[in-house]
Amino acid sequence: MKALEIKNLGIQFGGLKAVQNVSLHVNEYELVGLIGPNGAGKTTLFNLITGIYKPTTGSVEMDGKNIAGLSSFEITNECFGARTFQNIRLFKDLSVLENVLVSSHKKIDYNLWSVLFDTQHYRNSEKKIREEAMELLKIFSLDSKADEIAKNLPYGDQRKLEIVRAMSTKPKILFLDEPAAGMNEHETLQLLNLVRFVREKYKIGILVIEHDMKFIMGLCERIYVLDHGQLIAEGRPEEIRSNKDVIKAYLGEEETNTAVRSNLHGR
Amino acid sequence: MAQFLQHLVNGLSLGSIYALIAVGYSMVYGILQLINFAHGEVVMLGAVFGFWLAPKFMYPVEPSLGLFFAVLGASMFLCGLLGFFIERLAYRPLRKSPRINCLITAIGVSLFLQYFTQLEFIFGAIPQTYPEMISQATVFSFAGVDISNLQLIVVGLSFSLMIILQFVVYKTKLGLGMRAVSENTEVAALLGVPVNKVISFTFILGSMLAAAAGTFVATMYPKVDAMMGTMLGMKAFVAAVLGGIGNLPGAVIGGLVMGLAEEFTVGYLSSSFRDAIAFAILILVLLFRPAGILGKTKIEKV
Repeated sequence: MKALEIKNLGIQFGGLKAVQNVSLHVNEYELVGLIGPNGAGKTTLFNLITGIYKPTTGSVEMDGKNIAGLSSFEITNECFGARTFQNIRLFKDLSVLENVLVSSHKKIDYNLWSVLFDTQHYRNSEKKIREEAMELLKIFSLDSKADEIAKNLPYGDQRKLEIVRAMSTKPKILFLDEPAAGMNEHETLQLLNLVRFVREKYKIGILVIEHDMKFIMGLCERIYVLDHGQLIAEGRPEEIRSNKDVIKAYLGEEETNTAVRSNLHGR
Repeated sequence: MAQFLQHLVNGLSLGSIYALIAVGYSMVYGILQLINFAHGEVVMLGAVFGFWLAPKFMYPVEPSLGLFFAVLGASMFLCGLLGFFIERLAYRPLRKSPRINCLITAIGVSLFLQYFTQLEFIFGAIPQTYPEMISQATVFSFAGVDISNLQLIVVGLSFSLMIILQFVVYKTKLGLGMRAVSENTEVAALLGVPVNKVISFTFILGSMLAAAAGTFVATMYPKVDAMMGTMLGMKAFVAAVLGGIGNLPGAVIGGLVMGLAEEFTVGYLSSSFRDAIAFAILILVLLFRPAGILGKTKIEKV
């Protein structure tokens, strides 16, 4: 089964067709990249997939389930998709552990009644999810920082925590929106390993938006290119590198382009 | 000195009631950035429900702690329902509209409840006497300071309720959901938090505390009237702003400060300044520390 299958997806804001007629898929245990110039509609596509926008046309299936008509939290809980954001959106004032615990909402079965009157049950379930969360933090070696407030973490760890938080929903497909934004080369390399590690450990599909060509070419098995809301190319990294449409989309013109072409080749 | 201490005791018991109400304002603001102006009316209805229910539970009403707790519980339950429906019917349809629309709706709900209650076949415009369920008596007298059983019960219950609230907010999944939603609704939803449920729950909790406050006020100053919520709500709102709106411990501190300020003003200046002091405090806070005592000043990025 495909982890993600998008068919003829489109959305229109007034007269602006931000995304039109996009079809793509991500298999289980596959790392797929999504690139495109600024304003191509990449993040809009993520917002469509995660239920923040409602599509004008087309359909999105995750884990074989159509997400039409589901709200964000239902998509997370029933279709097993999770995402991170271009600009970090942690719960800044919650601790690292609490950031991960937020998603435990669906796993927990006590109610206010048992908090007040059936404390044994409440304590056990609370203990269970805390242990699970700590385990997850340990896997990503953030357990020593569990009680720190999220906003006090160094930048790289904040990015990491965002991924860990997404993983805490036990997704079958993970969407990363520019995970390497604002990172130096060393941090980017660590991130590369982290994303690979996540894929190996959890055997899930991952769809990554990224501007850092070196990162995306080194990471992904397959790449989609989006421009002006439409897919203009699909293929393996080496195919994308030499694709004329892609070069044109990034450059505007085909000649005078050595600088950008070398960028596509990974600097 | 004895006089000072006596005012302190009275101020604390009044302040703990303000704190209960202020916490409700603060919770809703924290989650929806909405000043729920109808909150004072929920307090009033908390007292009205008690006025109706007491004779139903026991006729004729005689002072008894059991009755008091039964009435308190029932009134909290009914106000919880009321809070749920206020959010569901008045605020949820406007969730995505500009904030000013919600604010005006809140004022509308507040006026609606006030005047609806004043209808002859509902409650009426004439103030009524709240049934006496606890006969006031001094239980504790020390160095000229009298503490009544009422004050003990009110302060004790208020603080117990606020401690339970603190526990719910900081130690349970619903509380974590509330804190997550108040920081970022969209991300919370993406992580599987049922945002609508959490918001309903917040309104239910806040309204239950408001009902308790209404019952306490009516027990201490045994008068029920349809307009009683306005001034209580206003003062508690000032308390919430004073403490830093959106901040629960801040609301408690703000409430206590307001209660003490009011009591000392009455004691040492004049009782005509009773209400003026609240708004004098509001003006001062807004001038010198708009974020409140525990609030954080937000630096806006340009």
